[in-house]
Amino acid sequence: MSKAQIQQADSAARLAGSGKFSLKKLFDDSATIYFTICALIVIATLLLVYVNIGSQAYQTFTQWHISLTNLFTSNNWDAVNNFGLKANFSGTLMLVILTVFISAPFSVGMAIFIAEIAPNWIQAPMRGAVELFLGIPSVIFGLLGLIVVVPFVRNVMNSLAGAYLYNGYGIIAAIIIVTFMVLPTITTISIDAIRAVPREIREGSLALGATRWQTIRNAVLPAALPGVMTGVILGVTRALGETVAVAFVIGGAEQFPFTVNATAPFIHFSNGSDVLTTLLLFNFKEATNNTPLYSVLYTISFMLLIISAIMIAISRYFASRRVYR
Amino acid sequence: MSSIAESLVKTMEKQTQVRAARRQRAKITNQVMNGVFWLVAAIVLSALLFVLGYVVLNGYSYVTVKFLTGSDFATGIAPQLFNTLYITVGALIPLFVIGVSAAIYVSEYARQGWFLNILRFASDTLTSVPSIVIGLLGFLLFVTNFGNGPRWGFSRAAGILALTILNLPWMLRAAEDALRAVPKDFREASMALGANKFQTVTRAILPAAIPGLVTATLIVAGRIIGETAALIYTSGEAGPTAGWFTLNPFFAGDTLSVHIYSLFADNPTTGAYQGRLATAVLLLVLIIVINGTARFLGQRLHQRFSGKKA
Repeated sequence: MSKAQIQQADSAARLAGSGKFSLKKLFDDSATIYFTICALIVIATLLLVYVNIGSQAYQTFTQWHISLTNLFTSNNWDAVNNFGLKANFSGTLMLVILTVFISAPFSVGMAIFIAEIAPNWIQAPMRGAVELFLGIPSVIFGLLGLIVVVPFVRNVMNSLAGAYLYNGYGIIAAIIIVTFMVLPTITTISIDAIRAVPREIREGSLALGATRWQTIRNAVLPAALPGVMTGVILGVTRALGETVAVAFVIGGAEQFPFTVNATAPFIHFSNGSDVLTTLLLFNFKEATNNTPLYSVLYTISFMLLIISAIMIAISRYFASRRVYR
Repeated sequence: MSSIAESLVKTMEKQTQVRAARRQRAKITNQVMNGVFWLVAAIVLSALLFVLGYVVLNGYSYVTVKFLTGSDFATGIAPQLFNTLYITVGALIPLFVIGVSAAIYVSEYARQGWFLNILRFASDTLTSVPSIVIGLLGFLLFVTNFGNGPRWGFSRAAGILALTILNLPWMLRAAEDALRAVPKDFREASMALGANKFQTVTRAILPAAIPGLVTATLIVAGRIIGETAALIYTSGEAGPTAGWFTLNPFFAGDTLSVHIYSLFADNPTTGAYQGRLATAVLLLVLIIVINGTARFLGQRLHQRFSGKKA
């Protein structure tokens, strides 16, 4: 039978069956509808988040007449009338950038080690260890930060300054803690990206007489780079959204993470600052409905949503550039 | 004439020397970088061991029978254990039903196209939403009536719904992985026997994917148990001391993770040091057991379908 004949026979069979009621077909059709609805629920959930947070967020501008420039350019925050986010925004910026810059080299190094260098027998346990690390809840990191990192930062910084200037709370402790939290995120994604590079790429490089490091640097890493970048961007979103672990060590004060002036240590780290997420966490308790504070906190939430969405768009761009997956 | 030949030989010799030196240098760099990678791995691993070791070694002695069964805010953990169980199971039910169904749609029904793209973008964007924002959303929708007066108040139900929103994309992704791990032959064999799509899904794919789906559920359970920020303003950070042994979904109460935070928020510097560490030990052990089981099952599944070790 030719293809056309088969198609003809097929459509004839369908026509013959289509008029009859069949429980089997009813189940099949309703299942299709049900599964599609469940997929729609996922999209609806995203809309639910954006619409509801957004509907509260815009009241800052319409009801309380606080301008966006005011939020960004003022650093005066008293949670009643003045809502300058400059200090918190710079805190978040500093936290995210430094965290990712410190942890990315370690993460990629770790990923290269696990995927390329480690002997076979330790690869699986090490991967397991990294995944275990990924699963540790942020409260536990926060608690450790409070018990270990804050005293550590206090001792080191005071001995460096030569006087008791610091209590240990603030952006430095937050950066240390979040660096550890971002590390496994970037590592696991980088491992997958490096593993996805086909063997031929390595073999070709080694056959040309390159050493293992030359192979990694000139052949494997460039091929895996888009995947690694996806991991780095996801690390950025994790650092950006991290709340509880930071809350334990940040100290919660609306001031710049550090100030620079002409007296002795020149860069003075603040004893306690804040980032956008911890600002939400600490202030929401006092916020009551129909106050400017309440609306401003939702505006901050919406800002976090937008920044995260942009990050995801960037990571999807890198993902689309991936050649090997 | 001979001078030209001589200089030619000289340049060639020189080139060989340069090449040999370069080769030597490359070998040394290779050795050095090897050492660097071993060092990085050692640092990262020791950091992990430190985290685990510090919490467990300092906290295990505070985990006593009295601590596990007591319900006092700072010295007992029984209400938190019950709430954690309640909220985890409560959130896993809608997550499993919606997440697995949506995953079935993605892996079995969807065609490449704009709808699938939107779905993937929605799911990716949803994973990026900071959990504190989901907490504030839960406060808006479930705890209060859009801020105007109370709806359910701080309650387990509000916490469960906030966690459902937070983990839906993770469940979708994990379940999709589990379904995609089922070999194509299963689908083709079932279709070839005359089964329709629904029969193929329910009788061929789902049974084969069960271990994978269990793994996915466990991974999400681990995320739920460790979640704090989304719960502080939905199920509340207050620790109930009486009347907590109830299935009432509108009862408020903190989970193990939130408990660590509320002990901290209650008294940031000194208070309830022992209670915090002991709760952290319990939480860590729970998470490690759950994630370990998930990993073990995942490997078994991989072996079953691929016939080789992971």
